[in-house]
Amino acid sequence: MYIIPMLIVVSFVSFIVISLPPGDYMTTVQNRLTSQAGMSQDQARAMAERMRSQYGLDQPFMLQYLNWIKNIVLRGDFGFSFQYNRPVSDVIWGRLGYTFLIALSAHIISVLIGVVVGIYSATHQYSFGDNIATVFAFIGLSIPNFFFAIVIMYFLSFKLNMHVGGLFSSEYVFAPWNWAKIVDFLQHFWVPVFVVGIAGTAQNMRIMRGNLLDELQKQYVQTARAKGLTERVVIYKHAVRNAIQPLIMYLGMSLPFLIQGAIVSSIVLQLPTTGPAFYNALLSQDMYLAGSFLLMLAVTLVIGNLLGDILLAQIDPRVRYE
Amino acid sequence: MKSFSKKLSVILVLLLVFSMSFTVLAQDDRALLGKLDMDEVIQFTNLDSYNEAPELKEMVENGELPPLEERLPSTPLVRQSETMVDGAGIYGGVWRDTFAVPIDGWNWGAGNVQGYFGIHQILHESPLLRGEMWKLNQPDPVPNLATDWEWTDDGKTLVMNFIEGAKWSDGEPFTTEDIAFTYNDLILNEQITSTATADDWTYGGEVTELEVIDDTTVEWHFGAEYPMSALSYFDRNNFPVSPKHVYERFHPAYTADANYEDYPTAIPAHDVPIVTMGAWVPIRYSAGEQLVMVRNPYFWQVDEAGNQLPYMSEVRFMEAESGETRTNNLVSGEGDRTNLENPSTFAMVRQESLKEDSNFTMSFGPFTSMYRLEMNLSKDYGVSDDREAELRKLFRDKKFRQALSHAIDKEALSSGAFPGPLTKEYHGAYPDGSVYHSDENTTVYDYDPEKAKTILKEEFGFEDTNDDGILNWPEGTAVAGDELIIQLKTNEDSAASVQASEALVPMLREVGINIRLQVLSGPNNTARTDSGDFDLNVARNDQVGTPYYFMDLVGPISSSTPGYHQEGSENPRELLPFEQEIADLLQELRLTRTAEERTDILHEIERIYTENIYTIGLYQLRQGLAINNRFKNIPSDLPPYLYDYMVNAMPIQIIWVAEEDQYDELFLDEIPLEDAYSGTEWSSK
Repeated sequence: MYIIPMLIVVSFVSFIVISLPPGDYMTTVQNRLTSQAGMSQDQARAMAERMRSQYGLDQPFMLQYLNWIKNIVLRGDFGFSFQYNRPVSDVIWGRLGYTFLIALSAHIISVLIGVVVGIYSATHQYSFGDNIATVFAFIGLSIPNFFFAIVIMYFLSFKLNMHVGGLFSSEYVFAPWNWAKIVDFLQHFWVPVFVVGIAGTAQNMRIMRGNLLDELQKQYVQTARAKGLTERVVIYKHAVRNAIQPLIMYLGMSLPFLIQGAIVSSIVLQLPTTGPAFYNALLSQDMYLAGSFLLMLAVTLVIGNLLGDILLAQIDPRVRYE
Repeated sequence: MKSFSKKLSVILVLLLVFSMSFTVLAQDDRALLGKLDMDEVIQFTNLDSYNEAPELKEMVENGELPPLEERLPSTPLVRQSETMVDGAGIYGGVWRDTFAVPIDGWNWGAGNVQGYFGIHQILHESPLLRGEMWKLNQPDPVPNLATDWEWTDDGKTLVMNFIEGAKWSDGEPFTTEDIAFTYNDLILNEQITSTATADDWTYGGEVTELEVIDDTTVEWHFGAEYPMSALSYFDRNNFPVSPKHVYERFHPAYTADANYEDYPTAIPAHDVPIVTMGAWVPIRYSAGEQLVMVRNPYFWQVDEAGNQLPYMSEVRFMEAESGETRTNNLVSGEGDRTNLENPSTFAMVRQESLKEDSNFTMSFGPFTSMYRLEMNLSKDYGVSDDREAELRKLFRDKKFRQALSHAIDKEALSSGAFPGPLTKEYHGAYPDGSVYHSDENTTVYDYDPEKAKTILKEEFGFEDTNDDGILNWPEGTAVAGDELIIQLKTNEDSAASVQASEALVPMLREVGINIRLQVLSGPNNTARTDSGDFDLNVARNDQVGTPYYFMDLVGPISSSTPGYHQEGSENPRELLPFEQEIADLLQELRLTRTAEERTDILHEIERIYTENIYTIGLYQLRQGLAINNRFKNIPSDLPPYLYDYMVNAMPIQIIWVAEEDQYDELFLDEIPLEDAYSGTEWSSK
């Protein structure tokens, strides 16, 4: 139950941080009116001023914050996104689907590949395959994923003349689902999944490898082998089951990290997910949208932890409450 | 050695080709800059027969759509062949573009944003348009919905005629009622944030009155004689006409249970199709992904052969999170154009355009864009300590501005940005591409650091007393003995501004000034400018070349402009004598009646401006466009921005594609008819 005060603190701090720089969303509007619409500076400023009072941005900071929180608690209303001219919840919900699809796909793939390769590496320690996997793991861990995304984008766009940015080519966005559209989707979709998943895969692999190597040294493994169990049973039924526990504990924790990773790579890859909307909200000081996103991230961290605990309890009876 | 000379020769050949391509551009007959008379651009005439796109013909034959003659105005707007460098076009094809600002709704009359990047230009029609002014030898706004106008003898009334029988995209007639609604119920209504205000329409202390005479005629009654500058407020930016028959049901003045709070969100972004006078109608929008527009069957413009415009069937805009994607899309062949507004993108795009299989061409307009160093001339607005107060005194002294100018190597800045014929140094008020610029009226304070040092020492008593290379404030100032430190802020979104600012740091250090550079995000930069909280500012400006329309870029016309000399809330602003002269001239300019008068005044302003170093010019550049090769009717010197952005400057409805190059249309069967409009959420509200 410590969650609620924590969320309040998170919301307050994020609200302060968003309000810290000079200006507000209407300054962004004003900027666009001169740079994009071609209005004169005087007109743009007057228009921004009118919108400022229309949307209550000229009210004191604490009043704005309290109103926001009050509406969340009493009416489940997260406020209004100036940028999208819609309620914040509409903006977030509309973009959540692809966000979770990318995060979960990346997550599943990184766990599957990470665990399988990790097991292989541990059981074939110092073999050629293990060394290769290790090299790739270090590359995957050390290269930031936004950089990966940029390199892939450059390569696809400038070298292969493929469309990057978004999840569909121009002609498929509104096309009914068919094979061509699925192929087009996959051509776009693998990039973020790959980019987001690669660091996780590498990390999972290293953790799995290390843990399994530890477990394989332990006496119960020797006992099992001495009993005459097949190597298969020894490794998969006994050693892996113990070695995988820290990974599962970490699973829950990694959910917000994956969403963050998805944010960064989505910004680079220009996907219609929550990431770029969040980033733009921060840049343009679309404060209610940005604040709600931060709240949402905090909530996923909490939920992720809970999920991790439940899963662990399923797998390891020792941690269950009696 | 051999490979070196080979490289050298390749570079030389490239340079030759590069420079030749510009001389060719300068003379070729595909160039239109300043070449045409008004009646070579558009006319309103009756033609013997009219023709329409095959998909529309089919709909007429099926009885879904009234025949073309009933859809067109009796006297349509005829786009003249002189503007079509490849001649009249054929129907079909797709324009694929990119935008990067979220669409927040379709109610442009209440300030909603439709994503910019050319979408506004397609959707918003206004009484007059500026887009094609660049083609005119006598630049004046081009008639659009308004066909002609006349001042009464006393100069206080403007009689304006509008096109007769034109229809909105849903088939409802366009009349002066729509003009009156837009003016009285949106622009003048203080409860609605529209694109202009009553202030803009106040002359001689009176808000201009609109009198509707009949369906096609209105009279504007002004409080002053011949307020010619009012004509600039009939533009797309200030006067995008809203369809009254759509919006009156959301407007409290017409509907009892409507309220002002909900008016701006009357038609949300997803709720398409919408009603427009534009050449294409939005029919699909998926936030963050794509906007699709199809041909407006009621579009009221034709070519000289009577073919209803637009030529192209479809416009698809991919939504991106940043404008850079537009360039990526062009290079990968997924998009059709990008603007080259920033020298940092020139090289990359140029390289791609030189490849053999490159599918696009670059072209550059005249020198229209420039970077300048602005000094905060306000005596006390935004001043928070002694250092700033002393600095403002310096900035207000012409000798100090002169010293700064002498310290800056403009040629180095310009070639550092992009070497070659696309950039050059800049000294004055208007860039070279402006019809109002003249070298005669420009005073040049050339690069001469020694002179700068002498001025700083002899005029102001600055000396480096502690031998650290930085000058110290002289005795008698409030900060005597302190180092001469000046803040310089700029906008991070403009890479070239940042680059120029960085280059200024060592230049000014050379004469003993320590520059603290602050690179700020766009909104923060604007907020700091508005609050007067800065010393120096490096800014990009694309609109100084058309000073008549952007007077606030050349001098004081209101208390908050120019941004580098605003009036604070406490003390009245003390304009410098030369500023007052410019301010007076600008007031005179607003009331000029002829192009010659305008030119004279603007020349005089340039003379005063540059002699007194109002701002320090850094460099100017020619902005360019990169457009897919398949499009026809693109003039070779089409500027990305001059009077308005390129979508209107072409204008896009006369662009066409040869049959073998056309991309497949995907939405031919979705041209909206009555049931499409009545199926929207907004129509049943």
